[in-house]
Amino acid sequence: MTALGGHSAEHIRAVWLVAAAFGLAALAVLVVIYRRAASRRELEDAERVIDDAFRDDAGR
Amino acid sequence: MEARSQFSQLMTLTVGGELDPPSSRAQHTMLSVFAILASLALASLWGIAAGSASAALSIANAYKVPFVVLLSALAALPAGVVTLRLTSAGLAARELASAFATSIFGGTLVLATLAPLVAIYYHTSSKAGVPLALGSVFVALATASLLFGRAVARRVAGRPGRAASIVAVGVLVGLFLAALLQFVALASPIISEVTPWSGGFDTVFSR
Repeated sequence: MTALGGHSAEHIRAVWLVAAAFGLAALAVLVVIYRRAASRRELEDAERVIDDAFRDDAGR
Repeated sequence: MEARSQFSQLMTLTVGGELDPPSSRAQHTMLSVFAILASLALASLWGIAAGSASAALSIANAYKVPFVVLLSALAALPAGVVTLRLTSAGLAARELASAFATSIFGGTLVLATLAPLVAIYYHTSSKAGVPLALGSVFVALATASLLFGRAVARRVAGRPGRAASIVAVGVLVGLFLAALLQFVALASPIISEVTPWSGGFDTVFSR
């Protein structure tokens, strides 16, 4: 029995599994990117708070 | 940033608005990734509705449909970025990816909105169930393409290389559709009936 492109059903299943593995890897990369961006943003927020406090002190 | 706030910011970006205060680069990255992850959840909802004819198909669709969307986007994105570079477009690759992510979010939002209608027609109409399921996909694709074009057009307004950026959008959308066609076929069955889309390029363009 042939499936997509004249290949066997097992071949198509294997292609799907490989594609799904790429999808899982991409999801893992997205999570890493998100966490790195989140920690960078926390740092930016902290720097902003310090800058504001410094400006307040300098203004007095 | 809590998920609710991110969702409302994402909606603002999706409808073409500007964030107030303007977001930093890190925040923009977070929103883009959040857009992709939210898109996967929304696509999963549609998959569950479209496969609701059987429990096994519904459960399988909960992960198959999001993967089809994610893999199609991944397959198309490099070509869009290469087109940007080759045409010296006035748009950064990061901006293109961000606009692409928010437009995918917009498209899957339409899919998820239509999911209850798809499910109810699937179970109560022998004529309208499958056409409605397929129609909802075309409506979502059209919405996402329009949102993508509008988002990029707004970002490149007044910059040099505007036409090249639109070419990159065309390439990206075209390749996304081409990849989607084959990934849908690879993941078939997604709906319980055989459609021309179940066989991919070979059956859609068989004549």
